[in-house]
Amino acid sequence: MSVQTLPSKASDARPSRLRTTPTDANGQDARRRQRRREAVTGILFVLPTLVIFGVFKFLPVLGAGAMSLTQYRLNGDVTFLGTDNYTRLFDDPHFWESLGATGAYVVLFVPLIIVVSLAGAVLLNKLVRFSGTFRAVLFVPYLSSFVMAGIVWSWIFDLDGPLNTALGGLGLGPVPFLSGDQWLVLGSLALVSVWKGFGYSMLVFLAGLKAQPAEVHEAARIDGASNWQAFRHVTLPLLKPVLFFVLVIETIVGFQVFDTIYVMTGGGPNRASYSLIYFLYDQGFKFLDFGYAAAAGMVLFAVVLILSLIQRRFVEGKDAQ
Amino acid sequence: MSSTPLRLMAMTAAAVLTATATACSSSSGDGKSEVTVWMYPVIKDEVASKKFWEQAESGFEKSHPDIDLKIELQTFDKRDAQISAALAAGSGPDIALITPDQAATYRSVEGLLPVDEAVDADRKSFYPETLKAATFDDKLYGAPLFQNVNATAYNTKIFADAGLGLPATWGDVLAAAPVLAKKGIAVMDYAGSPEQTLNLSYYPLLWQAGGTVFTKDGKDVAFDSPAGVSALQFLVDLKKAGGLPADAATAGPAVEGAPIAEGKVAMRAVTSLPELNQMRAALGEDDVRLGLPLRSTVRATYGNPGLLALTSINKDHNRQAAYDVLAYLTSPPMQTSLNKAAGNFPTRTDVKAPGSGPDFKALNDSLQYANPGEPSPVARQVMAALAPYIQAALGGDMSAEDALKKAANEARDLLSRA
Repeated sequence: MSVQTLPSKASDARPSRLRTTPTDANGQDARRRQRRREAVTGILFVLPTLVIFGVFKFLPVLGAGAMSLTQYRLNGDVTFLGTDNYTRLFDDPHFWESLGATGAYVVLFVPLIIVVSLAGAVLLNKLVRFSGTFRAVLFVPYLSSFVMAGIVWSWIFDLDGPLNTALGGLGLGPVPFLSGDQWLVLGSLALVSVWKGFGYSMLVFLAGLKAQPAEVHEAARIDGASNWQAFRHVTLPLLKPVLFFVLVIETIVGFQVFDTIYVMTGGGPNRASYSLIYFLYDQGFKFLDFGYAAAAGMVLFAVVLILSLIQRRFVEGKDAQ
Repeated sequence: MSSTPLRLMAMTAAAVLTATATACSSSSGDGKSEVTVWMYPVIKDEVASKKFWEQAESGFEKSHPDIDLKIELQTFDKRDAQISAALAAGSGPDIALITPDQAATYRSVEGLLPVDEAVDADRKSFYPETLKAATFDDKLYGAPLFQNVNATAYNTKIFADAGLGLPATWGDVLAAAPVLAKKGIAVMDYAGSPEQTLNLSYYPLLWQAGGTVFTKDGKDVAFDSPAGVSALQFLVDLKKAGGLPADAATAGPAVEGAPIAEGKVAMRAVTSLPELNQMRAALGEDDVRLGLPLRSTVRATYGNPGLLALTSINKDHNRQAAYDVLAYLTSPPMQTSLNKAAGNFPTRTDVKAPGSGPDFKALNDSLQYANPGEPSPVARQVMAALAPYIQAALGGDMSAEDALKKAANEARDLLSRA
């Protein structure tokens, strides 16, 4: 029978791997050097991105924040106003109108683009042949310019355009897609943005679908789940992190809407599609009120930042699970 | 992912970050003074425009070997945004082509410098009205390069087929509206897009009604006067009678592809001969005729001088070079050749009109009724406040009187802050 003896000192209790010999010390030094080299290499890899981010994103945001507290003139004269621009902004009915129009647009745009891009991804995932071709074709609108898309869709939505001609054939219309009430106009604009932008989210969804383990779907099939049941109870829950990522990204894109509106409605009719970015654009570049525009930009930045933090928190939560 | 707000913020912030640090590149490496001009498509044909300005550039440099002139061709699209962002960032042009109301706005934010010295030698040769349109606080903020004017273009076939004469007054237009509407034709075009300057849409009607946008001292707005209401009511009545295109409240000013070019609208104001030629190309040479501006209480139209303005980018050391460029570009030989290429009118008494014939006669006769726009530091803001309410009235969402009253309240708020 063997007798186990307890270590006499606390230091003896350390695992043997922590005891160092000259050879171990050399090895540790080598490992430290290796880690340092890897860290330096890593920093060198991310440095260009960090510099670009710092110069083109972080510094401008700081600059805009500073500018929002001033009245800035074209000859470079700057007058410090404190929070006056923000006070004026929150008293400005057009700011709230534009925030309301942007919110309404987001409510229409986000669900629509998620449904369309998810449907596209599911269909592409099912395809066995020509999936690459279809993927490329469906991604093409994303690569086209907003101006081009706006011009083409303005023609399609025109009162004498093909859509109203088709509706006329069915005894309907004409529908004033771009000159009717606010929900109709915003819905029409959201439709164009979905057509233009769904390719990006579709690819994100597709990547999420491809990453799902095949055996889970196989188990669902063996258990007799229908396609809808498998989608509802297996595919969708597994896709949740991706779904929330797309939700937040597209919400941010929705808040940033400008190009489509600029080309198609000019913010009208009667400010029905006057988005927050349009408000910012008018104040800054039409009326040369740079400080005020910067204040509007900072409010939008805060909205986007809060949404991004929510996304980060959610994704981190999922990772922890 | 699009990053529009960050781009816009970057542009505005870049202005702060660079404006103080930027020394304008106004002197080239070989010791020459460098002057940059931003020119716009005054000559509509892109190829002809490029060739013309290249020749202008080389012609100037030949006579001024110590100055490096760069004429950069821009587009009208987002002109304000482009100029203001560039000036704020300290990287814009020394000279830019702008309108009188833009001059008022840019001047109010210290974006322009006076150009009196550039035209002093020839001041008496310019039509006084063109100089007046660019004068603020007794200083000249733009050298008048050309004069354009709006006249009325008619599709004569439509009126002849309907047995109607060519409308010359609001009454004629209102009378023709229901007759043509029965044939699916709108009597008059109207571009109500908020991106369209009201100088080309509502303001000429306001002036025809005897009204003004601002009071004489410029301290208040006056478009909510009975004259203003009657001008908007005229549009509303026309819309109700089928006298405007269905999308008039949101339409842009284009001729090509628009109802006017498809024979679905009978008349419109045209801003230039190339625009008239676009109508002729679409409708036939003989079926389009140019006439005087419409009349209600008075006959009036929009016609402004194109101004070459000196921006705050220009510094003392190349100021004289910029003055030389301004004097050269507005000189009689340059105006003669530019107006010939662009179909505009001269701003000088010592330069002849670029042509003859009925079109030139109509434009020339219209010049006496031309209003160059009402300059105010908040002219553009007031337009932006007013345009949506005009849309609302045209859409039947509010009466003409209510629309103008609400717009005037907003405009007064803008003026109080100016």
